[in-house]
Amino acid sequence: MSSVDLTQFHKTFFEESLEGLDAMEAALLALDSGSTDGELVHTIFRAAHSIKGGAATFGFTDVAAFTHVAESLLEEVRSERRSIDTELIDLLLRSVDCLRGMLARSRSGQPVANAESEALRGELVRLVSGETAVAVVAAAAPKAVVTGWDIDFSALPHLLQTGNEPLRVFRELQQLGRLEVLRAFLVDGAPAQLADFDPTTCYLGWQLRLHGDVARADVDAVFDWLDGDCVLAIKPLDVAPVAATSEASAPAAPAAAPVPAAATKGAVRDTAVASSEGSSIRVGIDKVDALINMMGELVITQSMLSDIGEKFDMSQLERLREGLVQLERNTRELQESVMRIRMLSIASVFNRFPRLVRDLERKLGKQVRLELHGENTELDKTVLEKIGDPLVHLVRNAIDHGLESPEKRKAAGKSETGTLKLNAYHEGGNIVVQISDDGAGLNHAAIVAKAQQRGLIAAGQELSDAEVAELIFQPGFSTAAQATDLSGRGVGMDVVRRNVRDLGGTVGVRSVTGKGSTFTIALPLTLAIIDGLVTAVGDERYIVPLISIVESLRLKADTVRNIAGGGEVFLFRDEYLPMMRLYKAFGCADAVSSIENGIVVVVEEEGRRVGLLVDDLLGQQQAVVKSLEAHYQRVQGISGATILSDGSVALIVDVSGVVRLGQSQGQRRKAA
Amino acid sequence: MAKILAVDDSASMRGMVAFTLRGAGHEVAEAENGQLALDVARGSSFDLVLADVNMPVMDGIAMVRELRAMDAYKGVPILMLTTESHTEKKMEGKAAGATGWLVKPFDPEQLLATVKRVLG
Repeated sequence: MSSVDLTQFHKTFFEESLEGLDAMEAALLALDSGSTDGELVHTIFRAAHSIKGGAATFGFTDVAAFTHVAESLLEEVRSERRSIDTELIDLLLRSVDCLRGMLARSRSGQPVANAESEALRGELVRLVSGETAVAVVAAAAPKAVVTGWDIDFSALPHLLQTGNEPLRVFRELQQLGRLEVLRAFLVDGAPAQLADFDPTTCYLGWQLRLHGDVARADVDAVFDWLDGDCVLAIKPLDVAPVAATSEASAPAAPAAAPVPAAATKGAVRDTAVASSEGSSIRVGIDKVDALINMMGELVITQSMLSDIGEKFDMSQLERLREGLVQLERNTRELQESVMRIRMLSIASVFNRFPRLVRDLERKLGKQVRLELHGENTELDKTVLEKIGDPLVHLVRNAIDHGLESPEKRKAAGKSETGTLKLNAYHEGGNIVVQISDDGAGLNHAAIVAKAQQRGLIAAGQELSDAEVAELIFQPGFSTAAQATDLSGRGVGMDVVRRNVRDLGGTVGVRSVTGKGSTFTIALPLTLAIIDGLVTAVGDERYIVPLISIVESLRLKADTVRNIAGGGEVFLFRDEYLPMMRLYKAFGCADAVSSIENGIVVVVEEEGRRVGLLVDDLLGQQQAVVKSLEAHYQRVQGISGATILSDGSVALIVDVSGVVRLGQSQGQRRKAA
Repeated sequence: MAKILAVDDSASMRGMVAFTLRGAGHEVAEAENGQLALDVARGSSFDLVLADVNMPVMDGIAMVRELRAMDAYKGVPILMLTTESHTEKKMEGKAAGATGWLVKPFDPEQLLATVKRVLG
């Protein structure tokens, strides 16, 4: 068993392998779109090669076996024995997908190879010309009992210059058996005068005799690195001489032999630790440097302030103020730097799309040109991880429903190839991601018809463009005549909106009939800080996220009604909304209980609204979200806590939780 | 103990090599491609260089050729970390001046045994 625990490198291996697969996929797609850049093939090959090497080293034998065949195929492409065509690219793209799956299974300790991967490997094997899929380890030569070997070993002059050393050879031969040096001699061409000897050149040769029952392969292994650096003749003692070789032969055999043993060892170890990995982040050194720099500033400010504090009198008030201003600036900058560490470029999400678009083009018989802009825009890691699915959905929709078939486009006087544009940029404190297509735009008539059929709007109701666009975000809405297997996965735009909302963002659409649609997602830079409205309830402070607030108003007592089942409702814009008295829900003492004296904050989540009764509104503030679960436990209706400027703790209202509470309390009803 | 330069574009392989060698008491410097390895090599001296063959920017073969052209690295052992499927690469490496090779995959014991073989 190894003294070195290889499992500690598994995480790095998985990360770099997945990156390699991404690079491979990108290069394959570039080749597919007609690029002739020779470096692409090298990139693809190198990625496969690295994954194979790592997989074999760390004991992921199935991954190694699969990559080995793919690599052989790529080697043929690289050495121009095989030309690359669409079919081959298809096959390799499928291999990339398959490897992603295999890596994921390796990571979670599941069986790695399955029917799919085996079938694909079979396909690769059949394609590789004359290839025997698994590397053939040279069969061990039949072993005859020998009493020893006569070895004629003449160094070539450059032997020392390759870093090799005849002494090593003697040392290793001695370990095999008893070594006798019969004769040492100067090789032909050695200088006649000792003074002319060059210390980096080797002029010697030896006649050696190795005694003992030593396998020929072991003797060969001693000389394996000297292939081309010496003249060698190895003959068995006491046995009829066999053809002498001038070079060490079959060096691969002894070296390759230990492979299976090592691989199995690794595989056993791997399962035990696979699931115990945490999430990590790669941070550019510049960000860390900025952080350290900021920290230094803070230390300077701190020492300045403590200096003032030690011998303070009123004459130093101005300096104290300055120091505090500086401290504030330092803190803000430090906060920004720390936040920036969690920021990753959106490229990792955007990079999925060339592949997706290519697959959709084929499946739907459409022609699409994908434009990516602002790939370097950075956003919070958590946001980044969760925005992928909604974006994929929007891109699918755009190609499936938005862009027309080439025939239709031609008929409409457009270019046959549609354009799909993804753009990411910063705007204010938000990240904006836009998905725009130059397709047919939203089909107003179809949307209105569907909405009427679903009972979302009344027949004959006049709707503005914006209202029509808003309809597609309603739960269960889908306009495609029949659900295709692409978009119609039971997931509608309502889910996209909910996912985006969960990230504290918004999504909307602008559409021009015949010209195309643009979906715009606005996301907060980070989930760690929210904009909130501070409210007072008794002695407590509750923060309501600004994004959820529709309106705050003071109600007359007679607008609130009790309904059967115990809830309260109030009339808000022709609609009865459930009323939640926060002091009741959270059990606060000394709160305002009469409707007239309090304020109702109307919040909305997933299209459902409730009113929250609070004592007073104290103002707007950015709140750094602290997890309650991490410090205490999960509390229904509360998403976290924050520290206010006076040092007290305020709880942050979880609007979706509160809305659910409200919904179970009262029924939302259409006003008569 | 020896000063060793480990060159590999794969962080996991490089990490494994470096960790193993450090565990055996060697001093290890790391570089992630041939070009960076040359920079490191110029600024220091090493008793042994272990290098991957396939790397971006500058591959292991080109790196060996460059190292051998430097006086300080004329006789320093350089081992290529290669895979069994590329016998021709071994020869290419030898032709460029590599001392020998270590066939991937290898485990820490094999690595240490090979290093011992070179360093004596």
